[in-house]
Amino acid sequence: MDLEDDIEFSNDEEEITADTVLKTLQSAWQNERLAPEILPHRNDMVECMLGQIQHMERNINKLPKTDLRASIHKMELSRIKFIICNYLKTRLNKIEKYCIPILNEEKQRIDSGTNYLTPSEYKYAQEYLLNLESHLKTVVLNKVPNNMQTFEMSKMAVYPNLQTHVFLQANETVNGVVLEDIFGDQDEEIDLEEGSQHILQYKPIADLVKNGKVQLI
Amino acid sequence: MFAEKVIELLKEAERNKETIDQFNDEKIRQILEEMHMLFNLNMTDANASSENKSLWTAVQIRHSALERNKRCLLAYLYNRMQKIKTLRWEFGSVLPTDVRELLSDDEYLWFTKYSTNLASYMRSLGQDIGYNGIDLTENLKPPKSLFIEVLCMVDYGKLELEDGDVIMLKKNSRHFLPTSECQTLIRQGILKQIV
Amino acid sequence: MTNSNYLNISDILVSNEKIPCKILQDLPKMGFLDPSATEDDLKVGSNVEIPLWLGETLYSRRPPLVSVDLPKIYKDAYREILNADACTIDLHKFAQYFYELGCYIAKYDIKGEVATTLVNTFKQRFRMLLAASVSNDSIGTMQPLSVSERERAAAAAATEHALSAWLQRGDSPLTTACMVANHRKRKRAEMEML
Repeated sequence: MDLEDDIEFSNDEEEITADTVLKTLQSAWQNERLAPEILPHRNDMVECMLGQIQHMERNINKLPKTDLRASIHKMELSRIKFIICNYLKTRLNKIEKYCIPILNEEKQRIDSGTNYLTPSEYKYAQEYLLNLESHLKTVVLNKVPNNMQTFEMSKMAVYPNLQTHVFLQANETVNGVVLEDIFGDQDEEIDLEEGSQHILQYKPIADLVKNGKVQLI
Repeated sequence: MFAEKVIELLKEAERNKETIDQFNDEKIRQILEEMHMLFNLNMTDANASSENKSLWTAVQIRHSALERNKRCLLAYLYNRMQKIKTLRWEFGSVLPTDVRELLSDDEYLWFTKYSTNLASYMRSLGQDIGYNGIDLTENLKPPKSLFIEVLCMVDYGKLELEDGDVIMLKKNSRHFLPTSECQTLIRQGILKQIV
Repeated sequence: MTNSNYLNISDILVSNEKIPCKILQDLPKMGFLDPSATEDDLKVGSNVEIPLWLGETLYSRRPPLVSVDLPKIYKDAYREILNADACTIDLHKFAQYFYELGCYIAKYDIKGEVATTLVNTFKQRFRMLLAASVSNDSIGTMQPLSVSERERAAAAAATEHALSAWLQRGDSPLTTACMVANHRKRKRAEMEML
């Protein structure tokens, strides 16, 4: 996916910032779509982009309706909105699907200040699990024989498959990536040259995705 | 064989992956009855096993059957919940009556809770910078043009556009409208894009 | 790898498949598990075909109440055929959950040959999947495929179709949502039947 955007602003300084924000948001969106687990949120980028959209909409509304520039900018805005919506929706899907492990892991991450979910997302996840549990209890669990009525969190949990394979491109040279050999003891160590592309299991490069050294494609 | 009825229930659900079936209240009631019967047999045999140790195997086997039934019932409900979520994203927060009837009352309650939770989350988006929230149920496909030609499939009535114009959506009428304003109606099958 | 299959309907159906087991202890009141049994109790030494989920539970008791045998299709005779030319076997007829059931069964095969056969079989049959995904006669090409093979072939076909439509048209028109369309279709079909 390659959206080369020329966002025009009356102010030259803003041009660089907005473009960088959009590019960062785009790669965050791409990573989120392709990674099996939920990634750290980029709410800072989302809010920044939303602010830019507001600003651009105000500018567009100053132009006459039939102005060609207005149409082009409106298209641009519409495409940016799509990226934001799709990014947030992809995250919601993962939150719903993996809600039990995500909530467990997030509790620990909040303590160390490295949370992956925004406060709104965390609240959504908690409420979602509560509703899920309540529904299953009402319809089934409260009606089965006494010794079977527990909602067994560990059984109900769905975990993302971190061993799934992904395509990636190295943004910088990374040395010493360890590929575990689960069945034997022939662990391999490889180096990723800047710009090189690979197909690998997600697990060994998960951290590289999260710290931006690698881009999923 | 144990847990056969519950498998019938699941096979029924699997046959129709694209829509949701009527909630099978009757079958669930029967399965719950089967579970209670197994449990009672186990109570009897557990008591008797103090004299006849070999009965303990029967108790263990029935217990496995009970666990199996429980698992299958939960899976049936869980699978329906996934479909109900899709209903919210595709039909909107108000379900047509004939769809609503396919859900049990408990499921409809869950649907409204899910809907409320979603609305609450969407409203919180962009709060800090003065947005009134973002509707994530729109903008589901990348936009290709600003305006599209559509055919109206049913007598829908009046539609007010963002700029204040009001158009009448009558069955078979054609219109040239901004994409952003028709997306939802197209997904709901009220309008159809003319290519 | 943590097991996320508890609520997965596909896994439940797989674990419903019957497997041959030998009874290792007298099991009172369980005679009904063996259709040829004449008594209420199931005797030691009986051979029964019971669902995988039940077999695994009984096997995991200490001491084990059953021993698990390999189903026909994972045994020597069929393994030879599969290793020679896996494409000749109609998996839908013989073992619709061939791979998934095989993964469970492989545990009971000390020699590890079942595991090798599974991987081998898939490698050979891969071209059948590709053929089915681009074929004009999808019913014919999909027929001998197992459930999961069919799912993959169907997914490939859908992607292929979407890609060529996109290449031809240059854009994708907005369409009625999937469940909405299917719901309407079903309703129309029901009304026509009345």
